[in-house]
Amino acid sequence: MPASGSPSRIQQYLEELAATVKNPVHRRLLKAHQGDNPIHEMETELGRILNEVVERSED
Amino acid sequence: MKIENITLRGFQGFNDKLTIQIHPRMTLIYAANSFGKTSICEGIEWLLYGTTSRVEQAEYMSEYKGSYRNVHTPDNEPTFVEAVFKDGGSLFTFRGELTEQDPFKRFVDGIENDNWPIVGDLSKMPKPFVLQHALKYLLLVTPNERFQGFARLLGFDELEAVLGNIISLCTKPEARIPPPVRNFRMAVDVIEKRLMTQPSLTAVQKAYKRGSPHLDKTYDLILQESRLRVLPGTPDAGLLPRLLKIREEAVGKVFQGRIILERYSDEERRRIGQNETHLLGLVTEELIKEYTGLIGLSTLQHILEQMRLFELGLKLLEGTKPACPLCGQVITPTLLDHLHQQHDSLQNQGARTTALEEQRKRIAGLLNDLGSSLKSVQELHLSRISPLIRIKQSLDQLKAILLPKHEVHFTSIQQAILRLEEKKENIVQAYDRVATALNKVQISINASQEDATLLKVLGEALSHYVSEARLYIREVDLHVQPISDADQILRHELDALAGTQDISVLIDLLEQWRDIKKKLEIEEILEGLKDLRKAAEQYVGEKMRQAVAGNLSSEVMEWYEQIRTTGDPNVHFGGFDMERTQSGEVKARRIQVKATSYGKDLISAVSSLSESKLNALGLCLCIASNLKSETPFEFLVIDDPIQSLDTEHEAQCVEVIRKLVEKGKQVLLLTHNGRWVEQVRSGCRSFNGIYYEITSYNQAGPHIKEVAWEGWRQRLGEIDAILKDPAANSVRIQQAEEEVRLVMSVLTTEIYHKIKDVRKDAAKLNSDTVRKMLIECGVGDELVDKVTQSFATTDDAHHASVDYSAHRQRIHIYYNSAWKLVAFMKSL
Repeated sequence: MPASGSPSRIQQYLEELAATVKNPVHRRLLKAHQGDNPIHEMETELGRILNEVVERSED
Repeated sequence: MKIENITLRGFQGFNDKLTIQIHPRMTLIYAANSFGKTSICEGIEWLLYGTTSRVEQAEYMSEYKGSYRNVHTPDNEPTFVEAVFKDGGSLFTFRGELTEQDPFKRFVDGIENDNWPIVGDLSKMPKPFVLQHALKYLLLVTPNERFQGFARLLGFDELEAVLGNIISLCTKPEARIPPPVRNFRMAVDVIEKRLMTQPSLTAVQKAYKRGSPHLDKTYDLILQESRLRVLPGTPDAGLLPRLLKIREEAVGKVFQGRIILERYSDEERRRIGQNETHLLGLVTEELIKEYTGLIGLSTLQHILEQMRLFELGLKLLEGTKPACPLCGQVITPTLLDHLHQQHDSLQNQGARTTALEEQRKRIAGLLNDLGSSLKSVQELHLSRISPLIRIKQSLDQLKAILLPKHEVHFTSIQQAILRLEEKKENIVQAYDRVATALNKVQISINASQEDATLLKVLGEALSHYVSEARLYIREVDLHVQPISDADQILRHELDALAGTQDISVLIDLLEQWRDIKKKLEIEEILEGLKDLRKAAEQYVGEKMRQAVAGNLSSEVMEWYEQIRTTGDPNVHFGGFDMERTQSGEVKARRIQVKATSYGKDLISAVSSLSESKLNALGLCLCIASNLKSETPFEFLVIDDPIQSLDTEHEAQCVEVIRKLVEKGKQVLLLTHNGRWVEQVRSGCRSFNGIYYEITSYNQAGPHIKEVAWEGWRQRLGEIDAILKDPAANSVRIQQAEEEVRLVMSVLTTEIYHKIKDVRKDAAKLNSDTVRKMLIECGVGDELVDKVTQSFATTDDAHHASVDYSAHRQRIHIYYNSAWKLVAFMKSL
């Protein structure tokens, strides 16, 4: 079940966790963890990241 | 906050309304099984949380549907639980009510409230309950469930949920990839698979398999292989065109042409959609009205001619004598006025004619535009399938290439051609119908023979065309993928027949190199999610480790030490930790319950400790978490904590209860074990709490009666024994002094009850109230003074003063005064 509750505490966990990862993609995904349905938000962000790769024209 | 009293009505086992007074320090309720004991615990839990953990943790919640309401409670009576809480000096009445419309309504001091006025989030605090099923949900569960239980207990449920969300994202992420990305990967997968089947390209295969870091090397090898297949000296930029030409020439000897059916692009679909909207909205009632309005235009043309004639005549009259220049008739002023009036009238009608002319031009323009856009869309549709239809002439040749191995694909091609030709025929007919109808309308306008029916026919034809066009598009969509698959197969077969398989693969690699790089990048992102999951697990694992291995372990251990007995085998709980991998990394969701056997570590307490010890551990865990956390509740409800404890541990458990009260917890203890009740009554006698016995149970609910915690005789006997015991230390003597005060209070209430017929709570009496009550009952001043002196060494809260010291002789005097009070009572 998705996390709901104190946004500030969840935010604090996510920030602490983000500080332990170096991959910018992972940081973007952690940043997307918000709202009432954080799994959906992170999945959407993952889709966005992958789409950006597919649609990138300069290479 | 502490509980003053609790009232239940229509809740679970309680049908009739019943109020139970709760002692500020300790209340003990004894009842045989099924006499409503658990209803009291769950009533308080339900009141605070709107639900009970038994229902929340049930595997099938439906089994508990409607279980809160007593079945015998009349329909017009509400189910409610009400409790008076004391917070500091203030009293609050909380009432939870069950209604048909709302499963739980809260009232504070009679006013409906959405939440209880309690600081903090109740769901984040440990529940002030030690329930029978605590053990089950903390220890004897799967590792994952244990982790969740501990996370809840430690207030880490949000952290656990965040981890769950990240794991959900990182587990099988392929299922969540957007369709365009999925198709993109599949397209590159096909190239990869073809590469891997080419024996002449093993060097490229090996480099490719090493992934993104070796992309440059892979590309160099592709160029190297390509150079081997073209004329020496061909520059790199010319490799691809040259390979394409070589392949085309070789394959062209076997078969010419490709099987193509392209999907409508988004832009094309948008354009078609706009066109449909335009076509369906064209023939409106307004247009029909405007179109039929043109009917009068031919008559008005005649008027225009008349008007021009009048204009000419009037011009000729200007500057001449008032006579007609043609016939010479004298133009009288009256006649001239008449001529001007006629002219004005014709001019007005002429203006109407001009407006109608404009209207006609606009409608004609509209119809011309319709024709053009329809033609353009029709060409778009027909050109979509024309390359595939052309293949029809080469079907025999295709059959020879594809059969028998690829019969399915050949059949797909045949069926696509057949069905699409049918749809083409339909759309062509629909188009012709529109064109004919349109032509008729256009002719009618030119001939000034407007007919509303013609326009309606055009509207119907347009609607029919749109409908056929939609069916046509749907049919195209159905065949795009099978035709694309068949084309791929054909290409492979042609390459096999022409001996150009490796060249074909090299062409694909060179043509699609950018996509291949992107695809490898995508794979890297998806693969990298494992690292994110691992990072999250490590982070959460470390957080949990710090919490469980530190304070929690020592606090639980402190309580566990209270329960363990000296005669036990030396196999015991050894603290909490997180399990680790062989490389020493913390396993995020694995709480380790450690145990030792005569000083040696065991694998797990769960598998090594007896049920009795595990139960004791579960009890300690609940107690420790309740004492550890910041919670507004100063009470603890403990339901049958000794269920699976042996006799020795039962005795130890009394000490645990005693310590809880001494630490300031208001304890409400319920048990079905009569033997243990006596131990509790004896061990916790000095609290002078309230003891209830549920003596029977019927449809109305439990019958509950208050029983004196301990009789004054037993108390006086205990004092006498202490005073006569030369080895009694200061703690024991202090205990005797506490007993004296309790005896004085109990005797005072008994005397008061006999004389005034009013039952007072002995636990709430102090020096002043005792004095007042005894005087009211006619006890002599001297005895009253002696009795109240026994309260002198403590304050109203029964706390000893700083310079207090137990004094055997003083207590002996009090003891004698107590017996004088007994004598007075017996004289009544």
